[in-house]
Amino acid sequence: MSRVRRLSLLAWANHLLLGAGLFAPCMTVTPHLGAIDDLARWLGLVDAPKTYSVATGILRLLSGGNVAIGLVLLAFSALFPVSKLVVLRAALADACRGRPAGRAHDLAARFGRYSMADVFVLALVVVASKSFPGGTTVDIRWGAFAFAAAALLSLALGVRVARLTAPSPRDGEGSPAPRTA
Amino acid sequence: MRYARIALGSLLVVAAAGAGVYYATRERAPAPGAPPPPHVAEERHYYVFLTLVEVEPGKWDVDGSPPDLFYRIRWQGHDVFRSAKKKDTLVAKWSTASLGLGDVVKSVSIDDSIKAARITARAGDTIEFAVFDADVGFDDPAGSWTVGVDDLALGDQAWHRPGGKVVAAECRVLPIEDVGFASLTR
Repeated sequence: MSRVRRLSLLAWANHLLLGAGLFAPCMTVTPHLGAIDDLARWLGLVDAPKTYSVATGILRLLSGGNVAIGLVLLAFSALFPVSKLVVLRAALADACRGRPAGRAHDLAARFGRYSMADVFVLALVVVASKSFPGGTTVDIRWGAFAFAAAALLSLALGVRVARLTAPSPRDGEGSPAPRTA
Repeated sequence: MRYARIALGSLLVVAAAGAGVYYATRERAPAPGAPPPPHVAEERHYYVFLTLVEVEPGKWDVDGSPPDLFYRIRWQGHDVFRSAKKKDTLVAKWSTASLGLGDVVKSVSIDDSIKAARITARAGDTIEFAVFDADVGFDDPAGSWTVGVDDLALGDQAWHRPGGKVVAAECRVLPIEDVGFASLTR
């Protein structure tokens, strides 16, 4: 199997991971009321555990009036990662046809900077480790790992595709690669 | 055009994967073959109450305001419980326990504070829920439905369009013996 084909398969796997990461359960919030937890739960005063995915979290922000934060999260958690996959696939399609690195490759490199993986993981760690009143807990679910894995895989793919489409030293002795129109 | 095709393909695959995961992991009714929720046990005593009732919009009161909802529970030919009234609402929600000022003054027990019907589970018995719009002089029926006592599941259950103008109702059934008094003194 050629390297381009392998990378293409990985790119498709990245699509699946991203889709799963956006819609799979990401965190479960279990409310507690401290010492009176049992009684309060029995009386129906404590909400049932709630599970959120990245997508439902964004939807709740948007529908709850936090439109600005919702749009920022939508852009950086969904639109940019999908856009990056699009340009990666375009770059791979170019490479498959033997075309030199083009605009797609530049875009792929640029989109890599907007990955939310680091911020996202850090935020989850902070939320999960923070103690909440009454002993309320936040449990990280597999969607968070799928989302982080999708972001990391797209970073790795970006690097591999950049190497794949980078001009070889024979192409003009280190001069910039010819660009397609 | 080429980018548009690639973008469409990527979006479709991400959306399909997301939709698949969403439908596979969403909270839903137990799958066929899964053990049913435990039902009430014969000759044991239970609290039964509605936690939520939603009624259809429409002309409820002369002044156009929404109904003042309350419900009654009828068991063995008696009205064994009447809920508090929720004013001007199409969706009424009741807490399991509520204390009035008089209750506080009199220092009521936990059991007294629990606003629910007390029933004993017996095969063949039925329990009737009737929802009303409280009005001066006459309470307008909003809908009623009857459930077999042995059909009641422990915990929460929901009914869609159970009767009349009632759109949805949620019911909770709890065993009286399992009241967690110990947690009070812990």
